[in-house]
Amino acid sequence: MLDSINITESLSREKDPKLKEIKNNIHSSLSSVFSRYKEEYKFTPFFRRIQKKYDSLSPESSKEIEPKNYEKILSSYDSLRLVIVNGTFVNKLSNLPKGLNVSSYDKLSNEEKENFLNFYTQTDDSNDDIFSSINLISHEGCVSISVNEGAFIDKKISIINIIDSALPSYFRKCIILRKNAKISFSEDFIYINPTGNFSNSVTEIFLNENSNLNYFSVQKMNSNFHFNSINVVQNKNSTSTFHTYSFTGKIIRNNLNIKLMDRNCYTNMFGFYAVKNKSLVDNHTSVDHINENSISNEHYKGVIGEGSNAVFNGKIFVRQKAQKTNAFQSNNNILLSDNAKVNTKPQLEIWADDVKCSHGCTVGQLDEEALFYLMSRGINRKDSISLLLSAFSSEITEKIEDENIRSFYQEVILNELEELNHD
Amino acid sequence: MLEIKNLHASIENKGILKGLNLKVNAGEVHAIMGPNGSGKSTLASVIAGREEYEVTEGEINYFGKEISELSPDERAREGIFLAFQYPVEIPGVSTTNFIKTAVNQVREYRGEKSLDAVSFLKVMKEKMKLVNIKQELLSRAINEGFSGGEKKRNEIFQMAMLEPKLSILDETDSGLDIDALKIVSRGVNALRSIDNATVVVTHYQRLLDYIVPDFVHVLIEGKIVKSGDKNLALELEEKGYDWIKVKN
Amino acid sequence: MSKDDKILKEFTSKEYEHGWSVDFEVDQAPRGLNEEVIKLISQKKEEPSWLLNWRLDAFENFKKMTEPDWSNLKIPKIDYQDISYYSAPKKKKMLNSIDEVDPELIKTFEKLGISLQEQKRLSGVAVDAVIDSVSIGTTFKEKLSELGIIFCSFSDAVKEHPNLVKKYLGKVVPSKDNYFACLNSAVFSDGSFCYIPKGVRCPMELSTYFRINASNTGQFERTLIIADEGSYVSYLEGCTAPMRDENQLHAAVVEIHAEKDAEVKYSTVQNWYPGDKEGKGGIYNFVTKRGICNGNNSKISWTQVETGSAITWKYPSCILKGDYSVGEFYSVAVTNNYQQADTGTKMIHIGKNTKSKIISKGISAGFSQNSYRGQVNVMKRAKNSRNFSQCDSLLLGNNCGAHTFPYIDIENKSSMVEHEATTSKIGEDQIFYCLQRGIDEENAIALIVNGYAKEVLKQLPMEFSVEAQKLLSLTLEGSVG
Repeated sequence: MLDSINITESLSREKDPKLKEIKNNIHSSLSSVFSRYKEEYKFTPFFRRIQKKYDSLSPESSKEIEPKNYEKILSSYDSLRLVIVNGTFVNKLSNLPKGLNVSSYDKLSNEEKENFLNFYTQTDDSNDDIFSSINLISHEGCVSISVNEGAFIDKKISIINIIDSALPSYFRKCIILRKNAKISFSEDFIYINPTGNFSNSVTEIFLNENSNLNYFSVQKMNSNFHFNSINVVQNKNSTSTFHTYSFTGKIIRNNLNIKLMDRNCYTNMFGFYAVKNKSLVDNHTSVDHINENSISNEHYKGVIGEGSNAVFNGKIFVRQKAQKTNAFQSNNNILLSDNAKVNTKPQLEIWADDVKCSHGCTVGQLDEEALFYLMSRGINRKDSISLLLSAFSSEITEKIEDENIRSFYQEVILNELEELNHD
Repeated sequence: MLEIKNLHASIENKGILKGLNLKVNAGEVHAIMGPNGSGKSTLASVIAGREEYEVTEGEINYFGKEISELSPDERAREGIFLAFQYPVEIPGVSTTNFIKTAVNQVREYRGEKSLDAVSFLKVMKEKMKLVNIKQELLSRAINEGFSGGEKKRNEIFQMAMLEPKLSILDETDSGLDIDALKIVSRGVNALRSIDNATVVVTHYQRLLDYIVPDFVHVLIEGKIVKSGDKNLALELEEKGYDWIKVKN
Repeated sequence: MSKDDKILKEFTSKEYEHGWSVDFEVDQAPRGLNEEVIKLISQKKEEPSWLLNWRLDAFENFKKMTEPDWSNLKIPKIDYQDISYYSAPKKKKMLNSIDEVDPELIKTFEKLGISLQEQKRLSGVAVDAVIDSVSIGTTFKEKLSELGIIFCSFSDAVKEHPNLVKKYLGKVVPSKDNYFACLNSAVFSDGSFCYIPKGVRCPMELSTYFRINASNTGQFERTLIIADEGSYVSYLEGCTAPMRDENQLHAAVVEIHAEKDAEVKYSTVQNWYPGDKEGKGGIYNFVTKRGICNGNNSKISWTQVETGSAITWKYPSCILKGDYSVGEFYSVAVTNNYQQADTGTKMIHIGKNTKSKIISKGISAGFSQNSYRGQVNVMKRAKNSRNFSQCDSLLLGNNCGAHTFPYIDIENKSSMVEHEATTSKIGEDQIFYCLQRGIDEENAIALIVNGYAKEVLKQLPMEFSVEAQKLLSLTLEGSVG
């Protein structure tokens, strides 16, 4: 199956000798990565569906970007923004605050390149995940994002990825938070064509000592394929918080892998999905507790509508050295239709004894009694359901500290819930 | 019976007790009072031998024997009993089974025959009356889902079953309403004798209306700063701990 | 900490109690796995040709299969040609009753605490004793037959009740189900057979006791339990093996059929030799156990206490086909030293209003790895179904691992599934509380661990429950901190 998808074309295009070497290496180990595909993609039959559509997973060679075309779309986003079109950073469309440095790899100075390569591919999952390895081979112009030491950026920055190509688009970025830096990002993927596109994004994130990151993703992919992998390494006393909200997509696959390398790390992984219009949303997360005294807290909740499918797989690893770990994980699902499906697999692997770890998951339906109660007060069934579901989602959104950001996302979710189909 | 000299103890390298002296004779009831964080519960834990606490200086003599090296179960078998402030829940282990295991291990240590099921039940029935505890409670897992009052009564019930020489009651009054307080106190008073001694650790004077102490000690910042008779407790109640702090 | 370590060491160092072996004359097949051996087994057992063909068919499939690699186990290479697939104590003549069994064998079982002489048995338990590959006797056969209950060795069942065997064999666990079940289908030697007729409540516990005695042999027994409409049976299984440096293979299959309104309770105390402290020797225990709730309102309940074996690979499962049928799985799995266990269950909800419950308590000590693996599958048709799972792990010491792999796949909106799992160590405050009452650390740990496993232990029949509690304390003796 792998042979039938051509990705070698983009390999030959790479000019940078160091990147070329990295790409060649991963290309030669592709078949061994592919052998791991089966278990990890049990419920997302990506290849079968993608193959029908694409003979080649290679992107088109980078064409000139006309910034004017996108100005209208961008006007509805935060004023602070970082715009990437078909994988290429567009400075002209971006507006960045002080302390945040963004450049595509080829525009970096030689010294910066060298520094960048210390991080590049250090955390990504290209050795475990077939799509991440294809990304590594196929992307051009990785975006380097770094936040200065001690920079405290209190306004959220939008990372806006635009897909304006009928061929596969690859996005790749590397985010480095220096010591004591603090920043919040939100990330969107915008498709110029409503259906049939394929986008694939890999993000590597390094949190240095005492840094703090908030990361929000909203995924409305219509009928497109989206494959997303975020890989995080945390150092001492750092904190990360991820919010991932997924709604529509032919197939959305999220990999969120977090490594807590040092002591006193803290990570929160929150997710909400309202899956509809025959979408498939697949969240695969992992937290690896490598050192002592860290906390991970994961909560994913979702509602699955008619004809749709949600997949959740959460792994927690606690290594032998990671004593005094606290790791919590929970996944709650509501099915709205007999034609809706959920596959969930929370997973604990523990090699240290002085730990507190737990996971729980539930699959159920709307509380009929509560529904009846609301309707008896004169609220129609549809609104009653939306109300109950928004209450169900609020457990996730209320974790957002910033009041403005919180109410923004609550609104987003509420709108999506109202469009859910059920029987 | 108990003689503590210049006791220094710390937890995680933080000094809590800083040169405490205390002498308790058989037949006496001592009350240790003090504000939050003064080291009252630490003192109780150190006497019982909790391993998180490190004795850095001084000695604890019990019947003339230094006990710092004894493990908690050895101390218990020697007759030291601690009524916990927060008795821990042990799921799946019935209270009866728990106490039976304890009683028989203690008896074995004393060179006595272990009690068979019938005579154990007989003793148990007798002691149950003392603190008004019901059979149903004893067949449940120890402390699991017990109310605050039930937990404390269960502590005193265990004390009755184990017949200790030195009983330390750590904030036994906390979380008790007045009726429960009376029941618990009645149990403690019934167990008093000329052969045993009781150390009552408490924040409030209220308990001492029911368990009347022979001596009252005020513990502040890891040291006993004032001792007296039961009237000292009343004075404290009226004037607050600041009164003593200021005086010092 | 150093004191904890010491106690931990003492606790982990307990010897295996049933590690002796007895010499008696055996009839053993040469090592190796091939059609000749299968024909030999079938011939020894005087089997009809359909069964031989069934075996050979399984063997054909087996040759095409590979060992499963999805479990969280490190399984050393097994040389299937180096095992003898048939070993039986030599019989002098045909036995007419249990009293004619070789006294040496009866003594063997008495040493295990199992008396085969009916008058000596506590009434209430009928035993089928299986040594190496063969059933050596079944007690209370006549008394049971008065009620129409058939309880005999599998070989006898093939001879005496061929239609029943033919009707049910391989229907829940097809011969090609998995690698080890397929191997078993080809070479199984004996096991127990049990049929409870319509409306009969079996008045006593039925029990099979398995013992591996011979060296270089595998044990491949097959158990088939059929509970006809409205019947009830409680079934017990126990097992031990001698201490040997080599690893021995045990690949069993258990199939249960519960018809309308029938209930089957299946309890196991698995105490195969786990290997020594360095992980040398021990039984490889690859077992396929599955029951089908065929009729409405039927119920199958699995209870297992797993303390033995070097490697355990075992997932007693329920197919809930009948509407309102119920499946339960209660498990305590203890691993110590270098033991590995990957065990759990599958609950497949097909019928409407079906219910399942999973309670799993894992305890790992020493250098062992203990995994829970379970699947809950609610099919589209299984409206209003329910599942509750609770999987807890306890770690004793810092060199072992506890792993939880639940798979939950739900396909209708009216069903409810809840899964909870926790991992922790014994609370230091719990231990201190016990110590303060004069209970020493070893007893404190035994007390707390037994309390932790109580929800499962109380599912066992009385006699077994006491044995299991002792076994738990024994397996862990010296292993906690």
